[in-house]
Amino acid sequence: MGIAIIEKLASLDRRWIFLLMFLAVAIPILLELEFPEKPTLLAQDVFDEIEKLEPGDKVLLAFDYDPASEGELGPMATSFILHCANKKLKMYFLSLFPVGPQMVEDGITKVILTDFPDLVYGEDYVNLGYKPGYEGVIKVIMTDLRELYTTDARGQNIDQIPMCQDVENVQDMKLILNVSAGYPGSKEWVQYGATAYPDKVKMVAGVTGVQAPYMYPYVPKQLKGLLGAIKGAAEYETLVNEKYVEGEPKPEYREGVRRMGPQLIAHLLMIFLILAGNILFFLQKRIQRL
Amino acid sequence: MKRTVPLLIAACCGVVLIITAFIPATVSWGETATVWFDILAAIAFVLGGGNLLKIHLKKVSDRAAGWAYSLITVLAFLITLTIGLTKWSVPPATDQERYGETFATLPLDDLPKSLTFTEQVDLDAKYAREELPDSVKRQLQLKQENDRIVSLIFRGWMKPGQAQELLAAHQNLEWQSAIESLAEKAAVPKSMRGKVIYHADHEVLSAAGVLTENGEKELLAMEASDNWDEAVRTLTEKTHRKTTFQLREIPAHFKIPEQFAGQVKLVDQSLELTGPLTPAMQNAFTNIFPRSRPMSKKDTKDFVQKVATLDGGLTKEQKQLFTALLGVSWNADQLIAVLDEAGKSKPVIKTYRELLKEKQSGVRELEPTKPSTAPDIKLNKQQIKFIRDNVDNQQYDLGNLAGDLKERGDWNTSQQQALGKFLQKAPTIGARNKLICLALTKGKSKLSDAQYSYLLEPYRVEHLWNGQIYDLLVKSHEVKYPWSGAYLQTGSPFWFAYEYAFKPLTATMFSLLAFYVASAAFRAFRAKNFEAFLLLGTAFIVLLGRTFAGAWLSSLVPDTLPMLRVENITIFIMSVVNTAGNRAIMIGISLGIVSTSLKILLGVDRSYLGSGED
Repeated sequence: MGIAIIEKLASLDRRWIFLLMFLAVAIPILLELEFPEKPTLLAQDVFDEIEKLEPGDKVLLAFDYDPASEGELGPMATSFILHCANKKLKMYFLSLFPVGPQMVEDGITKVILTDFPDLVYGEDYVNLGYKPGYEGVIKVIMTDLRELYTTDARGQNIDQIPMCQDVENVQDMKLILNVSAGYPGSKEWVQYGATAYPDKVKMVAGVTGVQAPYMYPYVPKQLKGLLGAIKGAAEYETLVNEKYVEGEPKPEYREGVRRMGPQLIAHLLMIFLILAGNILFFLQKRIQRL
Repeated sequence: MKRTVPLLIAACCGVVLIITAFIPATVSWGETATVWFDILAAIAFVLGGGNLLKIHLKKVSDRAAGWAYSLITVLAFLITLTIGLTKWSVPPATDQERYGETFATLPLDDLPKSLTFTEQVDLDAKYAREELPDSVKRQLQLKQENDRIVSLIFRGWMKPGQAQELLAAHQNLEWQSAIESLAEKAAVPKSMRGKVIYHADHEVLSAAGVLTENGEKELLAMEASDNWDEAVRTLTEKTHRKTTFQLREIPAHFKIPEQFAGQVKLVDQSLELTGPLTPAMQNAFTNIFPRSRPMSKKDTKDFVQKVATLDGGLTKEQKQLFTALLGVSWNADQLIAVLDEAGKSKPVIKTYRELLKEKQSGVRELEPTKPSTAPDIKLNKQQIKFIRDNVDNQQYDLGNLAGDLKERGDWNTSQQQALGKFLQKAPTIGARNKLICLALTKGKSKLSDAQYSYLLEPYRVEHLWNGQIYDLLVKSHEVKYPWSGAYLQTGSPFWFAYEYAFKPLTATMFSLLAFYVASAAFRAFRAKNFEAFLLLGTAFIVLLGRTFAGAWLSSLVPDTLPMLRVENITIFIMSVVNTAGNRAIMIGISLGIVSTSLKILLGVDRSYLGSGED
């Protein structure tokens, strides 16, 4: 009897596991499960690096991700914009992903147009759009922005955009904030931006969980701070909301924390599945020996 | 040859990039090489598209396994390409269309001779050696004799923006004086100012609104040439195009502004318009709604009471908030301060010619301004009393305030403008009520449908009217650059494909990983040996450490042993163990890259060029 159960569980139809995963994600979403976040040092470093800047300082926001990674990276991109807008920094958006400009526009609509209507396009923020060429783009704009960016994403001549007139290259930026889903992304910005001009260029990044382990070796010299996946986003979001949002933050500004609920249950399920799989594995081995 | 050329290109680019990494002076070489790489990459995109079509069409043609998927791929590719490239159903960009203007093609060479303006000067030839601003390059000519610039020749009328760019091009009084004189000569005649202009970059003669009979005569009198005559007549004809627009609703107090009575007629429910609707007209037509103003305590109380008596009522907190919000408005003191400030005489800015004259007469420290001869004007007691008595009187029309103040004392145009700007800053009653609604329904507070209808009715009328006038602006406009809109314009087919197909599909594909990882965790993640056991242990810690569960479990760990907290162990694993391993791998990869790059640059490794068989 016991052997039969073990054999049945070991050869469990994977659709049951899919169903469990579905429930593990769906139930916390429906119940709006949220847990407190205690910022780790890396998220604090990202926050502090932006805090050090003065109003009017220029920051480059490179949003190198697409809708596939929006679930993981969207909240940190939103928090970056919210933080910069509150600090009254000059925001220069660009992307090395073909659909990155849409991610930029989404962020601008969600934060700037909704909660900072006094910020003026071309004076306080500008979307430079997408340029093909992978790390080649980074290499060129580090020394000459106009070599590749002659217009913004709307087709307006860059020389007619007030906040671009005194920008020669990316070295004029006080900080690079990169949100990256892969190649080209944080690694390339570190290699061709931060590392090539260590005295002039500072950088922080928010990356996917898959990328994070590859970025740790660059912290803290080439990368001043790092947000890893939705966990990093939730921690940073907490810091920004605590300092700049009065009262209960809007759902758009709590997305990181909200998405940590399903992540917790899904992680616990994964641990359970790994344990269950191994227990069954050892039981099967024992049965075979008998 | 077929393989040698790409090999040489790769080798040259590689060598140049290596050189630029070590010699700062050669950075621009690297930029050029990278830009060329971008161009080649763009061509590769086209080749990639061609290759995709070739492979999938062949599969469809051969009815190979999965040919239906190939067909879907090809169709999706072609649809996306077509709607993206042709910007199908994308409206033109509003910032490039020059709403209210009508164009007639006229090459620069066909401009009348009387529109060539010359300013005799004696300037250093260095100005001719430097590049002119883009906006004037085609129109301005610097004539030189004996290494001096002797005249500035400008073709067409000079726009204020062009004059500003030219003045800013060289911070030198001789140059700026010459440009100032030229700009005055080349300005549009007073009688035509704001009505016609020549856009040299577009090679068009442009008219704002309707070109009147007198205007046409004046333009025709400038020169009797066929091309000029044709352009003027075309412009006149185009600007008399009729547009009829059916209105859904007309605000009760709407009247056609007097200055536009000749161009617009209201017939029943339709607006009949001659020529295009200009932005100035649009502004005059939409700026008809009363703006919020200070309210007396009685008026405030009555308004709050009126809303409170409607179905649903108001809570005590809502009433307090409502009263407070109605009190947030400008007041008489602010208006008086603004008008007094505007009445002060301002220093007059000197012209560049005056400054040059002063410089030539030996003045060392030049002052850019001179005192005004106009006296300061301050509101008198009568005017102040009139303002205080009437600003919160809802029966008094603030549109008459300028006239009434003028009757009671000194008044100047600067004050008139300041008054207009001040009143314009206040939100309309509709916009104010909308904000009040939002504030009153924050949190768990609610309003009834009747209260919403009462409060938002002014906003509904305003919003609908402004939308109708915008539709009239678009309908009466002749599209000039149909492809100027952004391909991802909200509501366009490409946007629709992106928003409702690409975005959810890619997100779904990525999300599916969670299910497969879960399945793999159950079936494949087994502690078969010591290494696998270590891997499993690490995975457990990191999985827990990335969630609240780690922090919760760690609460059992005594404070004296922080290193045993799950989140701290996670950080240790990531930043020490992971970093060490990754650095080792990265160093190995880097050495491999150096070796492979050298092989490619020297032509030893040619595998990237293909097999060479086809």
